[in-house]
Amino acid sequence: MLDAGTIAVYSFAVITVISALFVLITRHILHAAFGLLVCLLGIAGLYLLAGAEFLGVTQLLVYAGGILVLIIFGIMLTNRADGKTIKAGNHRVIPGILAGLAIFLLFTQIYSQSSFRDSLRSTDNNIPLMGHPVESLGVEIMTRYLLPFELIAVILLVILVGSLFISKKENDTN
Amino acid sequence: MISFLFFLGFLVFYGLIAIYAERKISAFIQDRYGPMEVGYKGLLQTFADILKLLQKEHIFTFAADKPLFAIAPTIIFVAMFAAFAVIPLSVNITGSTVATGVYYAIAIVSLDILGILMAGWGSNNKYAIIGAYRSVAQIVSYEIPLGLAVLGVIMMSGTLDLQEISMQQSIFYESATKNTESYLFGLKFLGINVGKYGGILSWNIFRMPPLIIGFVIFFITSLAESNRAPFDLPEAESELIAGFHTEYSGFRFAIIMLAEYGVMLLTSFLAVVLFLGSWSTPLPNIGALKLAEWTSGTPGSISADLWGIFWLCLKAMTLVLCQIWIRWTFPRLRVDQLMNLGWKYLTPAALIIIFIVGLWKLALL
Repeated sequence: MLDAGTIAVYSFAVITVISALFVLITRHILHAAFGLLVCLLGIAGLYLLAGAEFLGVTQLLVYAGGILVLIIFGIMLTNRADGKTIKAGNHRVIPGILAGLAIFLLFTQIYSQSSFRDSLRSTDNNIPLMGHPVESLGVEIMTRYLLPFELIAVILLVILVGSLFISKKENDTN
Repeated sequence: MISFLFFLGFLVFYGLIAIYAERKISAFIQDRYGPMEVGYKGLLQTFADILKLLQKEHIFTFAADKPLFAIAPTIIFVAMFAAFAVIPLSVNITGSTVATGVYYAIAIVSLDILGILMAGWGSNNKYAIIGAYRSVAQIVSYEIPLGLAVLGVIMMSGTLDLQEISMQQSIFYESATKNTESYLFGLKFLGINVGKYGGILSWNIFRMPPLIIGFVIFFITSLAESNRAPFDLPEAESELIAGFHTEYSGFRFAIIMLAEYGVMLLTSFLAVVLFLGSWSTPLPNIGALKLAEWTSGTPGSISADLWGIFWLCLKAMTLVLCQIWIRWTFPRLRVDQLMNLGWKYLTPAALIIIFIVGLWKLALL
């Protein structure tokens, strides 16, 4: 029999796939962006069900609440500049399908050769219970992974300064 | 489950009294009477308004993007209401016991923006879309000082779990797993452990005095998050009619209004849990007068629930009252003033608070 957790996983998976398909099929670019929202929420739900609570909430905050808002904002600001809505078309269908299949094969290959496969399949102990995941995440970032963490911070600063420079220059020429 | 049912009922009840209070307080501030006709002193005015709204037709304008327009109020309400899941009500009723409580609350509330964008865009009306742009720009900017102000509390308490944060500030501090000691004004060398006195002394703003400024920053940003004056540019009546909900009517308009008042309540609850002692009593034990114990009940029994809910709601309602008071006292900011305040004053101030809290915790606690 299916338990509630399994049903929840499958319903989130179905929601994610259907909304991803909707993003591909719809020709209304803003509807596609909102389809992407549902897709990202579905993935966040899958993370939560897999016990990755912090990752799921971060998905909500960064992708759904941050990046998607920027995408939609961008679409809205550019959409009706000339008075008519932008329609998205389907270009390069065959190369797209080939690339998708290649990535799918790559993922299945990685999954079948990975060491974590067996631990995922065993039902008794999926989630390690030692320590608090959020706490250990914080400690690890500030100790073992300090260098990558600081590098990311520097990269973000460079991006910030760069985008400021680009937007400044455009203003001057205008 | 109990907390869900409580919040659903409380939100509707609060909506009724908050709208009535808003009208009466604004009338008092502007030297008017406010609603007086329906019921004693106009007490039934809100019921009459809601009955009127429920009977009204759902109007879809001809050029509206119908699916977006229809679904937007639901998204706005759900994103707001989902955050109530993690707010603890008393020592027994914890809400959802997720380890990432406050992080989740901030993340899920930010989905509100998408509902506002859908509403503004779906209306296909220039006032609505300008209102939506302003609203989103404002909320995105003010989320940064909001998050930084919360971060100060997180550094103090060492956890994201709202129930754990509440426990540390109450006289049941022994049930908390870490940072259980609270010293008078955060000064350990005085050697006065205020945990057993409880009350107002063990609130986070007094356990760590720099957080008083953090609380002020949180309160200002919470005004901006709920689109209220002096930050009500998204729905500035004199410029934009009603901003992003210009085209809404009937039940959908009622849902948007309820969500707006709900955000006020939510930010007040969060402020109370994070800074003002959550569900714990403000009265300390003074010698033989065990005021804190008398007004807290015994853990595990219904008395603790009743006292916890009473204190939590009383504090939150006081903050809502302050929000209403500020709305009718201060003039609206200009767009550039709004951005200046958010980015040039509140954000650096919140960063400085984090720095001071860190130093204080290293040196004095």
